[in-house]
Amino acid sequence: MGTGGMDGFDEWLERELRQNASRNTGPNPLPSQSRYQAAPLQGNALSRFSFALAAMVSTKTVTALALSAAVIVAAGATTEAVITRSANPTDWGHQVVLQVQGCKDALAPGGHGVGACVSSFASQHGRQESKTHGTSSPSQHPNGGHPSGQPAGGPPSSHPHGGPPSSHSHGGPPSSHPSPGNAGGNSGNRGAGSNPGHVGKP
Amino acid sequence: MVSYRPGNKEDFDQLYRTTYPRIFATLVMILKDRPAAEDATQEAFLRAFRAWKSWKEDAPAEAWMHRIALNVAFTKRRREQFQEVGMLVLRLGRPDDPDPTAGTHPDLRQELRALPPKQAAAIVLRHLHGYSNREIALTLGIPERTVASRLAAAKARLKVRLGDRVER
Repeated sequence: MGTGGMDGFDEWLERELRQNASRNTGPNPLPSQSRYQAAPLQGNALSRFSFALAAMVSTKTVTALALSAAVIVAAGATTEAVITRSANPTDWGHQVVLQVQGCKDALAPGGHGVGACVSSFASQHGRQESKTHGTSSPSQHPNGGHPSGQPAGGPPSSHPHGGPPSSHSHGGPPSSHPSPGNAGGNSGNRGAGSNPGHVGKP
Repeated sequence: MVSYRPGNKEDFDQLYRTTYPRIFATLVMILKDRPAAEDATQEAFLRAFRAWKSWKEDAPAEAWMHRIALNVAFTKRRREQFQEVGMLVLRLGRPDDPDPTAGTHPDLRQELRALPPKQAAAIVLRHLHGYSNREIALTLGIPERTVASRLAAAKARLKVRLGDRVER
């Protein structure tokens, strides 16, 4: 790091700079007192994991998850309420539990399976629902009438158990599932914000 | 010559201990006062630490560190200049406050701060730290000819402003 071809001004400049620098140097701070001690090294596996975790638990993601959960719960509750005709959640499964228990009790000793019995109940229930809908005005139908144009009291053509179309869940979860790709939009912006570049060997 | 391993925490601590005084000395000549220089030095080491894994062993660590520190200082100088313009507008017509950091030889520092920061950096690296033009070029990422022209421009201006003091 030599300096060649110095004139009087250069010598004066160096002298002044060194004197000035010596006046401005204080105690050398310890690495433990430095700001970088609190920062993770870029590329560290642990830091990458913590950044990813922080990104996943970002506000946006939490909001989206909460909204999706609320929509799913609401849709399930609506479906159950339509099927059981009760707004009380304790009634929703009660009918089915009673029926299954009845089917088990009616099972002959050594007999297997209650599927046929439960299926029969479901078919009966479906027919009852169809009749009910047939006698009620289209405006009372949860969907405001049969979109297929079939007579209201007609057979429930394509339902496997003959259940009414109204027993289908029309309020399933919307397609707005939180996309993992959107979780934490700013997760990739950590590290050395600007690449300081490299210098070659002098 | 100290050898460092990129990404190694202990080696970075060693780099900090070794280069902190020189980095700080450079920045205190370019920025307006000691607190600003200390802040910029810490910021520079923080940035360097984050990029420590990507440092290449064939590059001199101090030059790499200086480059980061000078980039921090240049950014800080731009902010300072905006603030100075705002302060100037606020106190139009009132006398300047005295510079509390001014010592017995404040003139050179004042003139260095009045230079474009890149010229000031070239002067400090050359005449305080003794870097050659080639080393300055590598540190700043510019051609050697640019270093020479920056040094010449800076010294011409300093000579004009400080000439009478040099004669004494």
